[in-house]
Amino acid sequence: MTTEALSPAPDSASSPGRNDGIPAIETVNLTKVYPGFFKNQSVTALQGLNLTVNRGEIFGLLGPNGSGKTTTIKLLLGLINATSGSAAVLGKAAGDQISRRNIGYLPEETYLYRFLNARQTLDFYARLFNMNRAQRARAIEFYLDFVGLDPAVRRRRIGTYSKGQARRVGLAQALLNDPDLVILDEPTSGLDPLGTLEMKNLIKELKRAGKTVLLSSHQLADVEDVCDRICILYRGKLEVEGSIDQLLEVRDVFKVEARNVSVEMQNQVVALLKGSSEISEINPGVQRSRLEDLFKRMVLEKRAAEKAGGRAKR
Amino acid sequence: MKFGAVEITLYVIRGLLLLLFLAFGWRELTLLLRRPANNMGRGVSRVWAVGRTTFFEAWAGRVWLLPLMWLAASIVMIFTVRPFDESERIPLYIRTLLSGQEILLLVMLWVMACVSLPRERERKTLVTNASKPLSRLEIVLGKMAGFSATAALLLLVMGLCSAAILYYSDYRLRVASGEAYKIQLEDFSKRGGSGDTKAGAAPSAALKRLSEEGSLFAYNYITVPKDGMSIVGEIDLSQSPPVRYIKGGSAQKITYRFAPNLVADDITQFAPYGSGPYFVFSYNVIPTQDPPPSKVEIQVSAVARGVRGGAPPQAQGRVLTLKSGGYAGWEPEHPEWFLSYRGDRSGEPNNAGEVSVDVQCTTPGVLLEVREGADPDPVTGAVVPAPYNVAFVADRTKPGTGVPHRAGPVVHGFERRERQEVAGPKAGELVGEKRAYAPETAVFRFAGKDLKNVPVEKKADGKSYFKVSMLLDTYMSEHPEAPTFAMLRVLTMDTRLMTVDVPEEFLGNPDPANRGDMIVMVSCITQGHSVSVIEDSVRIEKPASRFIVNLFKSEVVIFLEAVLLIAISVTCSVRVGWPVAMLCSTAVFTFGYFVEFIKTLPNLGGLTALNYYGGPQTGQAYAFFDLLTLWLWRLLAAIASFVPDFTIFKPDAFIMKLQNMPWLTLGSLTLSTALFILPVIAIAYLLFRKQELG
Repeated sequence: MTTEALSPAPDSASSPGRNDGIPAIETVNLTKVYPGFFKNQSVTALQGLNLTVNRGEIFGLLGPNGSGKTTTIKLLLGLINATSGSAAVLGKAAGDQISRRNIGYLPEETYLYRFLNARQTLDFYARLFNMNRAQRARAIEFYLDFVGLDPAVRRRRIGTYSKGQARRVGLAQALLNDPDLVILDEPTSGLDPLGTLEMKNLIKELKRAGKTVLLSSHQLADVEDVCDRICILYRGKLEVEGSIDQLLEVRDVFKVEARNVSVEMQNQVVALLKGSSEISEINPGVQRSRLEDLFKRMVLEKRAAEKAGGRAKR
Repeated sequence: MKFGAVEITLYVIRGLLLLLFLAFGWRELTLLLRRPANNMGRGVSRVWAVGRTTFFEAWAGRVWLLPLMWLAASIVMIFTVRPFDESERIPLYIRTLLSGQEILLLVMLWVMACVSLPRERERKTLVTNASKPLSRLEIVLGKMAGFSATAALLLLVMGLCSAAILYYSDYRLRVASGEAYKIQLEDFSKRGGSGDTKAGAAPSAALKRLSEEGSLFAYNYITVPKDGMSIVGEIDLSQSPPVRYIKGGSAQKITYRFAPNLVADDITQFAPYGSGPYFVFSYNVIPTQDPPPSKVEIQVSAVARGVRGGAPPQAQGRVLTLKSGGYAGWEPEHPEWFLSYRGDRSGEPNNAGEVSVDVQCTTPGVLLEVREGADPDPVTGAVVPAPYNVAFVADRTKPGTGVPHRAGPVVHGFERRERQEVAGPKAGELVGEKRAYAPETAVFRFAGKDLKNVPVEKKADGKSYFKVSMLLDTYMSEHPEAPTFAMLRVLTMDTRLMTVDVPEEFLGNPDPANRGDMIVMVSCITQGHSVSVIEDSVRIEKPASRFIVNLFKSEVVIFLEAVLLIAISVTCSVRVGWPVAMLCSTAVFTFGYFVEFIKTLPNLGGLTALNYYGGPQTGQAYAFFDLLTLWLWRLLAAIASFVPDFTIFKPDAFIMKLQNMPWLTLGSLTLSTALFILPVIAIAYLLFRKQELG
């Protein structure tokens, strides 16, 4: 994947209301219950989700397996129907056919036709966006170059591709229409470390191009590197939401960052702090926890609480 | 068109489906033609994008093997199956080629259409597609369009191959016929060119015609409507209305119908033989030989069809000798086989079904006059006085209570290979001026409304003529050396297909809009010969069309059938897996293919339709299962009425007879297919619109 500036795709100027103040995504009490044959077999995948993703930000959707991340994405795309609540995407009801023209979606696995080659695949998707022959040809070559698909394999059937190659074609189809909102479900899945790095750079590039990115991933380090804001879902409920900096800030630790501070000045500051009996530890430098720690802590706490609750019930 | 309760219900259901389709899918429907934004074109272009990918899917599924398989199978068939005679060679090839295309194409596309959507769900490509500005309706329509395009391409390839095979075969046939004719002509010339049959037959005009014109035709005809042809036996045209006769000693038979529920009094059920119900036969006997036969015998038989819960339909009969005045009486030995008795408690008849009586004269040298009878008054049900041949007397103790047969007894001629025959006179019969009536005759009644556009041609005598052609087979039990003569003109049967120029005034009223029906009668007047006829044996000729266009029309019929099956298969697969989809679409196709048979099942009764009869003493268990089965048949008949009718697709119906398929027929077939497909699409959309993907 190259990290060149995103070239505007055909009709990129045709997306009305990019900066009209309407959130890219807004959900209100969004609930999804998968019904079972019997009532006690039904599963609540998402429960009263209230979420707002602003335009132009990279938003991370986190949670352990079965927490409702993919369900949320499917609800936003209209692939499944909400049991209650509502969701709006780019100002229209979730699943609206017309608003989907400004959305790009990369599923967690690459779901593409195995009998088509990369060019035919992108040609098919380009036709859905009313591109003429010349526009299609230009966009296909641009995005195949953009995602770094080896030209030697472009005429081979996707069924013969490696997972990483198919993933790149999947990403190209998600970006083909120059979408305002890009939904990436496990974007680095199946990519090698270099590909992962390129993907992260690409996501940042999308933000620079003014796109909104909704990212769902288990690769917490990657999310931490690229996301502006995140939320963590647990068992279908929103447990944590906020900016990365806010959430990862250690509140009982004061940190000052400055450039070109002389050793003498540093010593003076440390001496000043040592003069106070309330300060227990003085550790000059950056103090920050890891997102992974936050994530694990939250999940483990919840599980412990559930266990305790279960014992109390018994 | 008759609208019964079932038909009305069906149209209401279809209308409701379309209303629901419009109510829920109006937005998707408008988006098919509307462009809401620059980066989102019309829905039809997205439908085609999906269709194009579906076409690639079919191609990747090795659908291109189909024409090769078909070609190989057809060539094997063509080389192994031998025609009865050379005139049947091309029709046989046509049937082989078209049937092969139809079967292989339907099977392959049925499988693909059933599997495609379930496989997309399974591989989740639908998830990616549904995240694009693509509606569920567009996905379904795209699938149907893609497989239809595949069918069109395959049919185009196979159609071109068919045309090549047929034109090459026709060329070879013409060359072979030309050579055969040349040899016959040389032989004939060597014998001195004598027409004397002892010197040898003259060269075949049929061969000459075949070598010159070939056999790839698309004739345009006006034929009689359905049931427009009948055998009327011998007919006396000098009387008004003309009088029909059946000939003694021939295969001719008259069938008389009586009203259903031929009800008898209870007492007749237990009456000793000799005092029970009976039939009376009355005929005017006309001798046709000199001296006339000393006695005249008739073979009679009676049968009731559709008896429920009782014995299977069984005929009982006897040979009767007509007494002086042409009368005979017959008391059937088993009146319970066809009579309807009133129930002990309810007093209602037990529905014995419709009773028919057949009469055949076994004595040669006589004619029996057929009397037409009359239907009962539709309001009062009273017997309408009219001359009749057969009456039924339920209770001989009550004079004047006889029930005559219904109007229009049907005369049957000899039947062979689904064709009927009209026979010429037999040896010793009075012919020519000594008999005022025509020999056995087939009547073809052309509807006046069909005679508006009959092309006429001016001949040298200054008169205008139209052409009537006949396709008649001949059978010669005697005098095989003699040509067969038919009425109207003397025609040799050498070419079998004959054309007669008929003066324009026979069309009737000069104003084409006010023409009445025209009747053409065909009789054979050669002793010992007979000609066989079917409904379209006599036709009024119109200018022929191009064969290749006719072949194209037949291919279009297969295409329409394939499109309907594709639509059904895709619809069946929108919610369920491919095995269930295949099962459902097979059920629909089977119902649609055997629709006529399934619809008749309730008329055959409950268990009796399964050839299971309870006998005279039926218990409650039998009655219960009989009723249960009857309701099952009714349910099946209702389902069969609802599913699309596949029997309307007969790609070789016209071309096999070298007859041009009228554009109107093709247009009405296209319209019927569209009317079947619309509710199918509505069902597909309603099932798919809220289905969860992923």
